[in-house]
Amino acid sequence: MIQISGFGTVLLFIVGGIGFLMITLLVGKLLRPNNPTTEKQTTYESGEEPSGTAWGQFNVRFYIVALIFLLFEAELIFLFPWATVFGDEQLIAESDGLWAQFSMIETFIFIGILLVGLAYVWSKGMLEWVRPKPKASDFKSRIPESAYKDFK
Amino acid sequence: MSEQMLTYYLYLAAFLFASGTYIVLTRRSAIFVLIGVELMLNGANVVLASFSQFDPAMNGQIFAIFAVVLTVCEVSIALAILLNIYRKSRVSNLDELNQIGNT
Amino acid sequence: MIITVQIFLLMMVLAGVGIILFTRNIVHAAYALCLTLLGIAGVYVLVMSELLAVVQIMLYAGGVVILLAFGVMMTNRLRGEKVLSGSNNKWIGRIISVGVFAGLCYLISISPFQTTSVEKNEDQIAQIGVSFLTDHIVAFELIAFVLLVALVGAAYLAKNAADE
Repeated sequence: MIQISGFGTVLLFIVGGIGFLMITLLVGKLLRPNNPTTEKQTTYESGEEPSGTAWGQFNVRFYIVALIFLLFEAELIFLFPWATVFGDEQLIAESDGLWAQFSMIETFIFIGILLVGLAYVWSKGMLEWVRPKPKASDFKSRIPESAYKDFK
Repeated sequence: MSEQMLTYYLYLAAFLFASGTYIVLTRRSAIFVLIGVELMLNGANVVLASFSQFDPAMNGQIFAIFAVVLTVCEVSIALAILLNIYRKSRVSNLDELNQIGNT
Repeated sequence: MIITVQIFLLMMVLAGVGIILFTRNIVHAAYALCLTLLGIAGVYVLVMSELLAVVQIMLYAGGVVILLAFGVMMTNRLRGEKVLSGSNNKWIGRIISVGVFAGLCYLISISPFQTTSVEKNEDQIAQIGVSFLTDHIVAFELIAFVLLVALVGAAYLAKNAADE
């Protein structure tokens, strides 16, 4: 069980992170005054009254963005092991530099295939965020623009 | 790693697979069925990984990595199909879904 | 020391699967799936599949569960009630799944596994990188095509649903 001892550090990080969080929450709990009022219990203490639930129907565009992110993360998984070996000097020396060319070309083909997908979703406008378009008002004021300048 | 330990991991994998089977067979909601499929695939991956530690070339682990990436593709397309079905017929339970095409 | 970690991971996985089996709430099931997947990532570390553990956390616990949560939010009419799901064919399902479990356990218990100790490469990830580019090069390039097809297909279908 010597090989997995490197993950002891990971475990230490997790335990340390949880410990710090717990201690901070505990200290906050001990120090803060506890005085709940009706105004404090509302979602936005000095803002709008919330209406309806937080569980509304989601726009499908959020799903598309999550999907694109996830599939490119899957691509990233394959680039991690590649990144540790493509510049390996021993392998390059053993194969007269062929290894470096081969690994670079193969991986550029790999990324290039996925860039086609990125170009597709980009050209179909799936990466654009839906913004509400501001409508120009056709209201014409009888006060001319120059009048504002006089009252600066 | 002893033989005894290996069989424990295999029993865990069998448990994951059987629970996934139960979920897939009984639940009505399509998303629940997808969760069951995930459990079954994870059971298979546990078997591959636990045998891979006796293989110097680690083929089992590499196979399991490919399986995980394929699962990601499967889930994203399955959910997109579910979205379309829900938009068209307002159905998200599999047993109510008994029509195909535009009716 | 290692037995403590093993029992902890076993409890994580069993708790997650137990919640998925007995809850009717889909959102709870998705979170319990996250717990189960993190426990299985720990199991992968214990059987010395380090890269697979990282892949599990990144893609499954960080990606698939979130997609499932999006799916719950978009395929149900949410009016503040809990999202519940019923079951069908309970007894047939129980009989089949218990049968599958018993059959697999019987096969595992009668199989004579002989384990050999293997010289382990210290730098596992580098070894996997080399074998991606040599032994598994066809699968490595084909998976790019599969990802491309999945990306285009899923984005097209989801856009279709969004435009209606």
